[in-house]
Amino acid sequence: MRALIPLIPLIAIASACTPPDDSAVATFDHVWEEFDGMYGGFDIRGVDWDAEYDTWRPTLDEQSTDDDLWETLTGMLAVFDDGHIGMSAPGREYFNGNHVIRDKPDDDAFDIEVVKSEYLTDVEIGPWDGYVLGELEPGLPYVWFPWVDDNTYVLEEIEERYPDARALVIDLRHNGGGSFTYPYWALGMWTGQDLDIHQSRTRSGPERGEFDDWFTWPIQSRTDDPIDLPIVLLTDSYTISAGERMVLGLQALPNTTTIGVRTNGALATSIGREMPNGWFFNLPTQEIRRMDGEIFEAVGCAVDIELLNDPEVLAAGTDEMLEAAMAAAP
Amino acid sequence: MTALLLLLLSPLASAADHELDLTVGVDHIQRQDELMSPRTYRGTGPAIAIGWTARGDRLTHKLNLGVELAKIRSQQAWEYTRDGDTRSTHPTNVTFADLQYAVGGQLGGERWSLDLGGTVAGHFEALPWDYGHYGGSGYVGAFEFAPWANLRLQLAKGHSLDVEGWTPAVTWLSRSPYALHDGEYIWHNRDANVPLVILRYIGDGRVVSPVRYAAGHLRLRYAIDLHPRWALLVSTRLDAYHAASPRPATQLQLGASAGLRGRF
Repeated sequence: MRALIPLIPLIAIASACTPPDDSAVATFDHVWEEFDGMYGGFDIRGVDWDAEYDTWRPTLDEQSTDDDLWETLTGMLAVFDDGHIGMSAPGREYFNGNHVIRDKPDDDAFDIEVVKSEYLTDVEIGPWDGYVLGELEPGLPYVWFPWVDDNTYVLEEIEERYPDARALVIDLRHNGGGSFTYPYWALGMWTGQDLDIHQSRTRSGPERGEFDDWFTWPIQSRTDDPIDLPIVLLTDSYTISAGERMVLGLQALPNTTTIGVRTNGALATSIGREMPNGWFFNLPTQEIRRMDGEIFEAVGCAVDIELLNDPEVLAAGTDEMLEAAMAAAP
Repeated sequence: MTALLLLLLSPLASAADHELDLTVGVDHIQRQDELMSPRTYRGTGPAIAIGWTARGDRLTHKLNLGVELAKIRSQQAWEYTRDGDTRSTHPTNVTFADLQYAVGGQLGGERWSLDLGGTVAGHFEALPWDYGHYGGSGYVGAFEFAPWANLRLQLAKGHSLDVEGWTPAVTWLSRSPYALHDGEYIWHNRDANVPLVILRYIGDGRVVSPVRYAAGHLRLRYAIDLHPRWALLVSTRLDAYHAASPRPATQLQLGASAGLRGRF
């Protein structure tokens, strides 16, 4: 038995893994505190978090059910209208905190199948459906990215693939985001000098307003002979997250025209979390600003020409936004 | 790095007696890491380890390398829907890697020997957490500088037991930041070059005392000689640590494995 004595500290450490209180009230408090300690956008989105506690906490008590908890939490989180906030629970539809993603207004104002069937020639689908590439007319290539990752590296090859190109249409409508560092790398072939694009700062402690230092995100030039094509960029309110940071990168290039409607307005990096009762949620922990200080969180990245497709016209085979892009291309 | 490895291995090469241990087995992990979740995660997975011991006239050198994989979870998988499509949650697949060098002076004689000295023990954890619709990645890199002891008991002819343990005095500790994916983390991952990313993580660490990182490690290895040059090896491990910041994490790792010991 003496041989077990050295194990006592280890057993003590093991027993320190105590299960959390997973009642509805304790779970609510945990979620509220996690947002309090980690959410990055209280000021930007104008949310009085203490007032929200006072509004929602009294709706729960010791007798509250899972349905009660779900209603309370989704009600409280909807206040942010933030596409990077979400929540999932067994047997339920994933809840997104943004009304656009949740209720899908104007979802039928974009259809890549119309682009492919009515406008493109020599259509190429990227690996894992990572892009749709083709020519709208001779000398005017087009690429659509459904998400942002190393699929955007195809941007480095545009001049090679289309030596007669006079412009490029980049379509980020309905772009679901991903990792913006990949397009920033690819766009290093589109500039002969380093460009500082935006800054981020991340919650670094539990006190509200506790952030680390601003971190500057550049597009670092990788060539002395950059690709020098005008870009016409298409966006909509479903362009979100890393897709929006890619928009900021593209708009920093000297000859980019943006057509469409403002993007979703959820640029900050989001992380997953778990509740004491085992449900999951996600929340963004950052503030993002362009180098000139302008903030697009909650309002979305701006466009030069505001235009949104009429769903009926689109269903008949005409993408008015794309035709405007073709007209805007030099 | 190569020069450092050669420096470490040089005393092994010149020592009199060498042992090479190769074991495979299973490890059980129990973890409560508030950077990732308030809940306790548990799981079991395969482990493989290789160890080289060189015993000279007065000094013993040990070099150990191990890798462990485990699916850990805090609850059974459950289903939810996204745009009407049914999806399922998944366990979190963690990967641990250990690299340890120890050197000690020898005491004792035929029936028992005690090596007393110091160790540098590196432990790296990749923690790609699953949150259903969302993921999140964490990491831990701990390089412990510790007093070290290895007791070898000759229990009977052809039967020996090694008991090895250490607890760090100071540690170079690198953990995920408070909000996991801050600017520096994303910058470190910008080129997805895994070895380089790990080195960047480790480079972000700092020296901490046991107040911020307390750990204990115990190894038992029972060897049964099959031949003058070969032995059957059965081993267990018990590792525990508690890291205090930026949020508390407590982990217990228990392992059992079997393998062969070669002497040359």
